[in-house]
Amino acid sequence: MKTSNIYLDLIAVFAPLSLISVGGGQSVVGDMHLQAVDIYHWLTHAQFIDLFAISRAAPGPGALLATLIGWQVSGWQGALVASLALFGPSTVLAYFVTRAWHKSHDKPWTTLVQNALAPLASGLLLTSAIIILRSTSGGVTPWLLAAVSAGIFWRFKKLNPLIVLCAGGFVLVAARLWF
Amino acid sequence: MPILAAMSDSSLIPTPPASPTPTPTLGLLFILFAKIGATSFGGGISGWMYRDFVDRYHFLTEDEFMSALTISQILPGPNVANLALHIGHKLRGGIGGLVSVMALVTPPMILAVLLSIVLLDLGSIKWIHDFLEGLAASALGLTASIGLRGIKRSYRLGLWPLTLSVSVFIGLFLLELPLVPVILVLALVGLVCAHFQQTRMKR
Repeated sequence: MKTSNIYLDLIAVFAPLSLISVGGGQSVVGDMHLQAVDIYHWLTHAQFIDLFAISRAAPGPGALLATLIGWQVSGWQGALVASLALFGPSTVLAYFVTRAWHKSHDKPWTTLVQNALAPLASGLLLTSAIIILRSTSGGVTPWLLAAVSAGIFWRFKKLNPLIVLCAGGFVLVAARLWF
Repeated sequence: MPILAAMSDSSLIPTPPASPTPTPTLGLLFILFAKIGATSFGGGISGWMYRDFVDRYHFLTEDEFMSALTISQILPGPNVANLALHIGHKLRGGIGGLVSVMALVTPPMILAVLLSIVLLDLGSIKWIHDFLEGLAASALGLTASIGLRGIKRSYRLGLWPLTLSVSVFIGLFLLELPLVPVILVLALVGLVCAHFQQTRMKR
């Protein structure tokens, strides 16, 4: 559904993701990749990986990836439109649910909804990671790196992720230098 | 003014401590969330919020924070933005919620764009792209580990949550179906399963 207007395209991509991203922004990274690289050709895969890495290393929510894609597509206006499209709809929904929440004190439905949606979030997170890894052309090294850091994060829950992420960066630089 | 009343009260009656849930000003809300947004390198934002709002300033009790965290994780969208909205709304009403989200999100947005301007300018240097690619691979490992942990946690409910997680993978990755309908259908299935389980446990 490409239109001639780049801002409408950004909204068409990110606004639905805003309302479907159960389990947080990371769960829809796989779909962002599909849309931005394969469908709209806004970015190459390598550019997407660079922006994804920056959004993970920078402070703040990882959903800033949308801001960076918007910025890459059409500068500051693009960044603003993409951010509003990704954060806006979910924030409006959260606003009304929050208001209803603060009014009612009987909340048995929260456990039910959480039990129902948690498995989707888990599945989305795993699928996102695998979709992006599949499209990397860098051979087995990124897969190995991802598997090892998944193991580390599984084992050490309190670890500051930034340490492991930067170590991952250095390992790949070293691997590409030596092999 | 309640503060003056509290002060004069406490000068007369020594025992009751100051009000247990003081209310921050909009300015303080903005500063706190902006600080968290701009300094939370490596994630763990909700942990920082907990430290500031529960441990340090006592604006919220632990239970209030945990229920805010739960609701913000149920809702779609970036969890931390939902959490900021919920906390801000609780402390200062609708405008407080809006201020909190803006404060949390805007500084890191500007930082991230500046960072990418610098790094991608240097992007022609091969090792910088290699570094970012390695960092991305590790970040994908982090994403996957959170998914795996979620699968392990929901296994206590039986086999249906695992089936749902696997269905997401089959639908999106193997069959390459579009995201929105897949999630809507599976969410419905999940609600039905969770509902049946809850009514069965009540009996």
